Parts: sequence; structure tokens; C-alpha cells
Amino acid sequence: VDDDDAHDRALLAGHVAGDPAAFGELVERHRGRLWAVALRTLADREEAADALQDALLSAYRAAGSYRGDARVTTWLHRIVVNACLDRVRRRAARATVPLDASGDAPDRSDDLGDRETALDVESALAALPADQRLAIVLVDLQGLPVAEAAQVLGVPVGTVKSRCSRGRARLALSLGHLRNRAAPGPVPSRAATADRPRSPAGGPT
Amino acid sequence: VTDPRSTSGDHLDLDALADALAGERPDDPHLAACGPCRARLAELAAADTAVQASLGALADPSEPDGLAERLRRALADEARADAVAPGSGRVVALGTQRSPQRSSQRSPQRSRKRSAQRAWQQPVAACLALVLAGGVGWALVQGGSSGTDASTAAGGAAESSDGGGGGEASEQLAAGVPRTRTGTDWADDAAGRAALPQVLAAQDAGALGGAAQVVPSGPPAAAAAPSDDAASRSGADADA
Repeated sequence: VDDDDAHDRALLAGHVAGDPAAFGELVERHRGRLWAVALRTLADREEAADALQDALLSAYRAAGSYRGDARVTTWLHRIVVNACLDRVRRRAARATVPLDASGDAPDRSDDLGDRETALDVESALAALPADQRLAIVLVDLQGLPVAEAAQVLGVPVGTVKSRCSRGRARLALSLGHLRNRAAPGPVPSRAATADRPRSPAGGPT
Repeated sequence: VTDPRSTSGDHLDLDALADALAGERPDDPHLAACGPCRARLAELAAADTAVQASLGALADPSEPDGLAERLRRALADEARADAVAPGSGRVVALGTQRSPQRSSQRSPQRSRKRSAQRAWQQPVAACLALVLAGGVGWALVQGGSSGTDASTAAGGAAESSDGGGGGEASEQLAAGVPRTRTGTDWADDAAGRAALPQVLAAQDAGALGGAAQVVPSGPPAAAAAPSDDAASRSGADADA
């Protein structure tokens, strides 16, 4: 338990004990990261805001159930991820247009080329299967250790590694970092891989 | 589970290569023996590095205006609702409904507080009920023995105060019940009907107050009202 986590635990304990300001401070500390996870998982600002609100209310109510096995941030991330996945599942039941990431692109540079690249990456990320996208968001974008991401997602470490690697391979194809040698090459196209049944857990096959 | 080999040949497909890159296929015999797959894996490794660099270059997305305020408000509403109706089955937004376990998950301190409150409230309430029941029972016994025109337990208690040792308890009970004596036997239909106009007239004239007595010209009072003092007092008290 490092200092940050100790402070988070103290805030959570304060909330459970009835401190009215404790949970708000906890949210302030992590809102940005949780927002990034929600937005990049759902790629829709409105839906991400809804999911984040749902998740934080759930965390507010379930604070007493936090057992302290994992970091508080891991616990919070898990709740946000679950809220997002719930929405992904509901959305999968509807026919949706591919995600428009134009409003969500990072605004870190005025350089048009950088901005276009960022847009391409965001769009390609949004087109990944949800399990691979989530793993990449947590590990590559949020910088969580693989073991912590595995705790958040509730899957083995190897599954997280596999999801990240598969997701990055798809991104490489989408972004042109990898040639798509359909024939007689050994790597099938994205369409071909999409047609094949995938393992339900998204784990190594 | 998918076949790790592509359908077009005996080589590893993209997912299998990605798994190998992640170290999840450490002893794959095909990979060890197949030159094209190893070359492809090396290409994928380079692409993987480039993709990680692209991902790392992405800035954190900006929060929409008002998100912080919206979350603050939602949490404040939740806190307020909790304070007003803890554990009640109030309506919440879709997707945020309480689970059945919620009451046990939420705020064990509050449950302990409620239990502690119950611990002292129950004996006190039981004692009060006992005292009250004893008083009423005693008053009933006394009222019944005095043989006056008690129509209610409280009335009986009031009547008995002069009827042989009613005591303070009965007076106190009577004091809580304002009564107006008309002298009419309301159980007698004919007498009641005859007396009614006079009573109503007296009421219209404002004669019926807490301490007032209306004595119609109907049948005489079955008994003098020694307890009227008490009734009057109680009526005054009630007015006060």
C-alpha cells in the first residue's frame, strides 16, 4: 500500500464512517483517469458521462463492501469498466453506426498531421472488439500494470497480455503499420478473422 | 477455440502470432520450424512497438464542461436521499437501482446506530405501556364499582373521583377528556330527539364551551355530576 493508496483507503473509510466530504475528494482525485477509461471504452461522450455517473453512484453505495484486497483505484476502475461493459452489451443489441471520435480527439497540438494521426488511432481503437479495447485502454493508455488490469477485468494475466497483443495487431493493420498479406501469406485479413468464431473470454486460443 | 493456423495454409494467423508475441505460445512447434511465420512475427513485433508509440502519444481526453458539477450534484442527491430516507425503496435512475444486498453493504455504522436506538427505546416503550395499561385498568375497576353513569373509561374514572377514593390517577385521566354535560340520556332515542334542538340552539348561541353546561328541559340528569369540576377543568385545560 503506497501513500496514494493509503490516502484513498482513508477517504473511503471516512465515507463509510459518515464523512460527507470524503467520497467527493476521492472522486476528485481520480475523476480524470476514470473519465478517460469510460470515454475510450465507449467512445461516446454522453454515454461515457452516464456510465461514469452510474459507476460512481454504485461505488458510493457499495463503499462498505470494499474489502481492501486491491487498490482503491483498481476497485474504482473495475466498477467503471463494468458500467461501460454493461453499456457496450446493450449497445451491441442495437445496430449502431461506427463510433465517431471526432469530438474526443486529443487537442495536444495544432499540427494537423499529428491531429489526424491521433484521430486515426482513436477511430481504430474504437473499432476494436470491446475486450481488446479495454485491455489496451487500461494497459497502454492508462498505464496500469498488466496484473492490475487483470484484477480490474477479472481475467488471468495471460488473457490481458493476449488481448493487448491481439488488439495492437489489429491496430497495426488499421493504421498501416502492418501489411495485410491475404494470400498466400499466413495472416488472414481482418474480415476473415472477424468471420471466424472467437473465444468467448477473448483469452489465448 | 479458433484454429491457430490460417485457413489458407499451415501458417499462424494474426491472433496466433499476437499471442506468440505476448509470450503466450512459448513452445509452438510450428513457429520454431517455420521461417515465414518467424519473419511475420518479427514484422508484427515492429508494428506492435509502433502502435504502442502511437497510443502513448495520445493525450488524455478532455472532460466535457459540467461533468464535474454533474457528478457532484448526483452524489449530493444520493447523500441527501440517504439522509432523508435511509433504506427506503425510493425511485432511482435506471441502472442505479439498489441491489437487494445494498442495505447490508451500505453504511454498517448506520445499522449499528439504529440497533442501539432500538435497544433503549423498546424497554422504555414497554414501561410506558405498562403504566398506562395499569392506570386505565385501575380506573375501570374504580369506575365500575362507583356505579355512576360512566360511558367511557375516562369518563368512569372522572366520575369515580368523588365516588369513594378515585384518587389522583383517575383525575389525571379525566383531565385529558373534555366533556360537556347536558343531562340528557342520549341512549334514550325519544329523549335524545327531544333534546337535540335545544342543544343545537345552545351551540349556535355559543353556549357550548369547554366549561359550559347545557341543561335541556328533557329528562333530568340521572345523576348529579360531581366530576363536572374535573370535566370543566379539563375543558379549560383543553381550551388553554
